[in-house]
Amino acid sequence: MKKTIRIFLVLICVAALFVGCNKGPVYVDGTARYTEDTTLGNGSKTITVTVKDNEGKAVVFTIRTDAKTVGDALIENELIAGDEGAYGMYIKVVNGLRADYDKDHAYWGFNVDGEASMTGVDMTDLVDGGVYELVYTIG
Amino acid sequence: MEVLPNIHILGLLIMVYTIVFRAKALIPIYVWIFMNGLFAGFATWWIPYLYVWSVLWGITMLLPKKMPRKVAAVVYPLLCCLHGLFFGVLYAPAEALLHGLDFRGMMAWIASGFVFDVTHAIGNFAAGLLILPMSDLLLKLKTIYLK
Repeated sequence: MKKTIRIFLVLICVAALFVGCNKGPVYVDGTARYTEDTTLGNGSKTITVTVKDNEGKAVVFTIRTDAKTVGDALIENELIAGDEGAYGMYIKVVNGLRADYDKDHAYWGFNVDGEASMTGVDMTDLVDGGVYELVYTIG
Repeated sequence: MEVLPNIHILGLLIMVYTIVFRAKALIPIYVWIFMNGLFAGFATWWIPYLYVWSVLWGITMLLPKKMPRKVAAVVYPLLCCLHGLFFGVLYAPAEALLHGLDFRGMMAWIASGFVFDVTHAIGNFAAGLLILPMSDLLLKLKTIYLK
């Protein structure tokens, strides 16, 4: 009986650790920077960037810019932050929400016209009228 | 836990288990670590897990067993908070080895995540306030069921 209780206790403790580790989203400032669709920036070109958070909630940014790349447009409007790497920028924070693979087991997926982009945001030329997405992806 | 952004109770639970079960607390901790890897996928993020949580266990083990309650009420949340604050520092050596960062790169990695570590620390301190009452409860249950 005691052995059964001990095994049950270990299982309960492990289960509690699983519940306990299921931390909520990690926001730099405690909440998303923008929670409603927003127009940002000034410039001759206009792009649309949809940011989908960990719950699938979308915020659409209409960005007016003269930037050459999508990454430059996002950085100048303080929408993204990350680390420079050999293959371009590794985005860790979008709209205040962190997706650092090593800590959150999640990353920011980048789509162009609804399809996964083969290049990072800082290596994707900005196209006037372009439609882009940054999607919080677990995996 | 998603209703509480930036907060998780792992530090709280690990310290409670350590206070109550001492060395045997490593059993559920490492079962969880391995199962976490199984469910979430064994990747580079998992390797630091093999030691990061046992650091908290180890420091908790070193605390005096018969600490006055008033002292424990301060020390427990403080230790939990510090583990959150230095989580990035603990994580960094593995990160550096796995991704080929030199010392400067590692320090830059720690600095870039420090704001999250501060948030983590605050959440841990809040959760840590429950360590003493929860360990009291678990000790009572242990006495009743595992006498």
